[in-house]
Amino acid sequence: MSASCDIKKIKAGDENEFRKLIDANMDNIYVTALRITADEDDARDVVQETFLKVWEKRKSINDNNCIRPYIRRIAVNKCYDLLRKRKSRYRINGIADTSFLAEVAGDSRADYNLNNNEAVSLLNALASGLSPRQRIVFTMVELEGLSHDEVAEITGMNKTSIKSNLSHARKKIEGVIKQYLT
Amino acid sequence: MKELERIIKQLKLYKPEIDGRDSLRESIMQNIRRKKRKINYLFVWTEIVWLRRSLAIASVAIIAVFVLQQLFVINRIDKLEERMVSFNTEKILEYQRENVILNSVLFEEQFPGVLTDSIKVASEDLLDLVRSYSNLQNKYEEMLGTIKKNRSESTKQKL
Repeated sequence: MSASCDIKKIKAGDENEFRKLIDANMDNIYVTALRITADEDDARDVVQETFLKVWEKRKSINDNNCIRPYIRRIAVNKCYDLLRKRKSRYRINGIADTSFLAEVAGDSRADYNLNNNEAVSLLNALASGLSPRQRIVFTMVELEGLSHDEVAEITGMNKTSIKSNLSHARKKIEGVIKQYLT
Repeated sequence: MKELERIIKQLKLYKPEIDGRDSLRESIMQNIRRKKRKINYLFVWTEIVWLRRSLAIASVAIIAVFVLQQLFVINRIDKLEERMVSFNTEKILEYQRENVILNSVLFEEQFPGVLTDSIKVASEDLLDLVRSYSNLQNKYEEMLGTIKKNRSESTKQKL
């Protein structure tokens, strides 16, 4: 994906090449941001701020191979900042319509397809009690399928911290699911 | 917990798409152009690599000079303090010697019969007397030293 754009040109300030870079990475960043923030507007803000920062810091990018993890790292950091700033708001949003939760969690319909609103509500409901770190670790490991090493590289956290955050996040989410299902 | 795994699976399958992808990209590009126009003239020099590096080196050098200077000053103060201590010790020793002599003159039990003539002497005059006696003694000792030295030299010459 990132191989389609020339980093040297981007470093020199070529806007067309940077447009290609945005096209190649925008969707992934949006999905990650939406999973973490559970808010479409915030996810769009994260995408915008991420690419602005990449443009500002383009001179420090070394080669094509490291551009994707670099962009992802910036995006995750932006999400973290946003979660810390808007912590209280998410707690309020966490109480959302989750009447479909039983249907998703139940084994009666394995082919249940979530729509946008349901996915956002579900993410909000599940992650409402999580700290920003737990939220990021849970998303990275469970939803994005990244290894602990990759998460450590992106977030700057150590492996022990990642494991403990993940374990706490899982316990809290299990508690939330139980609460909604009973 | 099976329910959690099922929910995670569903969330993994959910791949949202950005509404107004092109408008978001163009808004990013517009912001970039806007930022380009807003050149911060105050900090534009930070973009010049060689200037930034040389300023960093200069700041390190200034800090090093400052530290060395402080060490030098501390060293000098230590030496001065040592000198003051030795000077004070000499003064105290001299003062003690004067006192011993003064006491020996003043107290009759040590030198009975000295004060029987009952001449009244002011303590300052007495101190002057003691000091001149002390100086005289020093000079006498020096003279003795010189004589000894001369004698040994003359013995050597004779030999």
